[in-house]
Amino acid sequence: MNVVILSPINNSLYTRLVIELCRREPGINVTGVILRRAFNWTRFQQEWKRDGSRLIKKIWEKLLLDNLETSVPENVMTQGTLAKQIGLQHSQVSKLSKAYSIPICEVDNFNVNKAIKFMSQCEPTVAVFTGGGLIRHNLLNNAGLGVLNVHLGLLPDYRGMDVVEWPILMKGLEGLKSIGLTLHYMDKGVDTGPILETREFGVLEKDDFHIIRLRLAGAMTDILMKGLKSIRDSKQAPQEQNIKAGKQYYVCHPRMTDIAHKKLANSLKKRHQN
Amino acid sequence: MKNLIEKMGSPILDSVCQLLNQPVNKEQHEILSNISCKELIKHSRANEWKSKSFFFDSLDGLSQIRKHETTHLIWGEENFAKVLNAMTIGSFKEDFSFVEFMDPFSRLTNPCITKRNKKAEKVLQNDNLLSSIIFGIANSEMIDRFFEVYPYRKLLKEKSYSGHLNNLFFAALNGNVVSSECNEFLESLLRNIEVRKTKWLGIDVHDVRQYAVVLRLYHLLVDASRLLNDWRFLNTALKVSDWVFPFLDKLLKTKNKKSWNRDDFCIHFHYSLGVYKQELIISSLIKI
Repeated sequence: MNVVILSPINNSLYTRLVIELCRREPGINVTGVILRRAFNWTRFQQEWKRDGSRLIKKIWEKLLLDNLETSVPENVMTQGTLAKQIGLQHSQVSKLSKAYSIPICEVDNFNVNKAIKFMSQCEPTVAVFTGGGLIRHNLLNNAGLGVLNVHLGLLPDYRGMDVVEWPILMKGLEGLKSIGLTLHYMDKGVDTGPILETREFGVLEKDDFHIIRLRLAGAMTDILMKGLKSIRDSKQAPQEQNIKAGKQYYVCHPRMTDIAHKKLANSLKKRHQN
Repeated sequence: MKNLIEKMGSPILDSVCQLLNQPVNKEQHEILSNISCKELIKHSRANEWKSKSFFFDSLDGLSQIRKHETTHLIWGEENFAKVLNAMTIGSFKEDFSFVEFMDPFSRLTNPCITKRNKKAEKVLQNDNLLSSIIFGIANSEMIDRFFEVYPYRKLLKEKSYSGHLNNLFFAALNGNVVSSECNEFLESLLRNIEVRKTKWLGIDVHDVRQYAVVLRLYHLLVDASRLLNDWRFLNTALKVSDWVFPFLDKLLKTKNKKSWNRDDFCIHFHYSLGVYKQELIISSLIKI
């Protein structure tokens, strides 16, 4: 089975983990990596429009701190701990690809002709999205079965942004049951494509959103690899989403984020008391 | 604020009292004390806005007030029938020269209505006519006719001027209309504001009327979050408030409050009331 991986930046730990784990899995061949250049004005504008001032924090954490995972309890399996466990060697996607002789295509934007042409040449059975912005139909149509994405929320209920915080904001204590991951195919909508698998996550007593996110990120590769294996073995058919069952959520205003933090603390306290 | 409203002359509707009776914490008190509604109301009494009807009209986000308290002329049955019939046959060219609007605020938001204080006012453009009709229906006792007009929203959907969608939004909320079609509309409204942001809101610092429109939208988003128990609307309201506040603050600071005109008063009042309600909702949201 041929897999093409879409990478958001050269030092993406998630991308590197996926490449490494795919390489170790029999019958799964990474035939190409499409790498988005980190620094270009259009990308900055697009991401600024989406994330606002949070983009600065994101750049600081992802590029300058090189995915440094600070203040993480020992029992949390993060992408960093997984990388150590499997002995991930290279710190850049390009170097890792070169080491494994995987063709790489560097672009400013995933939707340019160069990326679409490269995708076709790689003859993918399926593509894997590990971040990097919107994907248009031209690329989606050239990705074999489609482009897989791991969404940091439970679909079909929570589409869009900040879907770790929104269940708590909307449902409080009850929302603790609505935190999880979804593996799905991408389509022209926002998180509306067919679902391959969902996984709920338990929230622990001392968790905050930072830890929850790290734990979710740590499990992303696992759910993705499980999905790839099921495609390889033709075990599982994707299920269409019932779009009306869920809502689309948008980036939380800082005050809503504050409220979410307070509500999470209150909910965990209530659960503990019960 | 509750006391101030009571002083202005009851009866105050139960829903308003209920809203205002919710506990306000210290932090909110500080925010509210900075609003200085007292000063505004004092000023309004001293000048041209003496009647309590204006006060109630200003509270237009709380639709119940208007329904029960106002003595203003809304729309005559005759006008309604005429307009609805014309819309049904798709003819917008008919001369609706003399249409009366109930809400003084709608005159601020509708750039085509230029002459105030006249019993009859002329509507010049079809788009504005349509939004005004919907607005009028929403404000009337004829809310059951809402769905007769609602399908025409598509004509307005792509307009950049936020007032159109704002009016539709207001209509949907006032009617407490919960249907799949209405939900679809509210979703598209959220998407428009969130994705296109200030570009969609069309803020122009030189046009005071645009502040009125945007603040009205802010106010309504806050109401929507309460009515629908959907905090996405509150989230969007907070963003709208952030975008407009620097402009608003500058605008209001450049004038002595004593020289405020009706527009300034309305803008400040809508903002103040929106902030007040927003803080009440946030306070209750944390406790849930």
